[in-house]
Amino acid sequence: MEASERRTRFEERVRIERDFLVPINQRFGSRAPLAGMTEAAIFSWEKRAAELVGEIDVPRVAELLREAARRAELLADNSRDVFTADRRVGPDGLATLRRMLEEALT
Amino acid sequence: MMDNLLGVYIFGSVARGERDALSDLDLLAIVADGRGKVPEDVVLRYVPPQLREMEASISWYGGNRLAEMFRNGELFAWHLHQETKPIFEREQVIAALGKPAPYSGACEDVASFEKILRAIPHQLITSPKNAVYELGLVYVCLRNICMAASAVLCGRPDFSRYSPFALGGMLPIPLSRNEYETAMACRMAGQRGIMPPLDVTPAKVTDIYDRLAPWITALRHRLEIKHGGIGETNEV
Repeated sequence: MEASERRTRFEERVRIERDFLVPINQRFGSRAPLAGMTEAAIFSWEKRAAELVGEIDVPRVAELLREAARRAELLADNSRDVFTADRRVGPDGLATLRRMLEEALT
Repeated sequence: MMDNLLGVYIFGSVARGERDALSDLDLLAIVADGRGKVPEDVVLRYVPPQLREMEASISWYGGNRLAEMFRNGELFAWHLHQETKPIFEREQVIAALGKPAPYSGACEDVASFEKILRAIPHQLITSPKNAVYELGLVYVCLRNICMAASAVLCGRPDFSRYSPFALGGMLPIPLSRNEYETAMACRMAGQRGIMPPLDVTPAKVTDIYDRLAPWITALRHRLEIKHGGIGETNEV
């Protein structure tokens, strides 16, 4: 495989995390930013976001995040996977969860 | 179930003797191939009493995958080879694997992290409220770039948290320790759920990126010229 073609698992993880973090932080980024998709990061965000007055169902959003992270195997701190060559993380259902997240945020 | 667990090892800052307030306890759990994980509490019961209050982060590997990493000379194999300290061994897994093959992927790995970094300016424009996440990426990419580069430039990979400030043969990194620690805090917020820094703005992240990008490019060029790896031109 050409070096320029190489795609690490970490690159794929970043792509998925951005996909889910961006809509959350568009709504919450100023006061309760979500910083990642590990269990600890989602739990921390859920506590901070729940303290804000709003119409968003925060526990529902947090559960969607957890489900997405579970399917994409992002819940653990896999920082040492950064040098692991691609094992494509592309589980079915992430696009559906992303749509459900958008709906939960509106 | 217990028979599935072949070994438990400590690595990372605790194994290096660099434990500080930000350290977690990195554990490597090696399990029998094809038989799945064991419950976490089975692994944690081997943690020495003086380390039990630390937050543990377990990396699970089967014996075959671990052996593959050593055969491929992956940087994580060198990380384990240099640092692991056994706290339980049904059999001597790490020692039996011996020295990993030479690490020759530094240029490729640096290019991969550069690619992630290059997307950050655009991300900050389109999603400015995601600045904490993006600055966390700056930290993890920079640290891993410097770990990979140190293997070539210093003859031995430096896995420490502050490896970017210890890289020989390069101009000093254009980043203050304070900025680096803010980026680190962003990453830890995304991994461990600590409170994210409140003063991270898109302009600040862009400024840091603009200073780092040419330095990293120069680093990669230096690696391409040298084009060696640990175990090849530089024995460890």
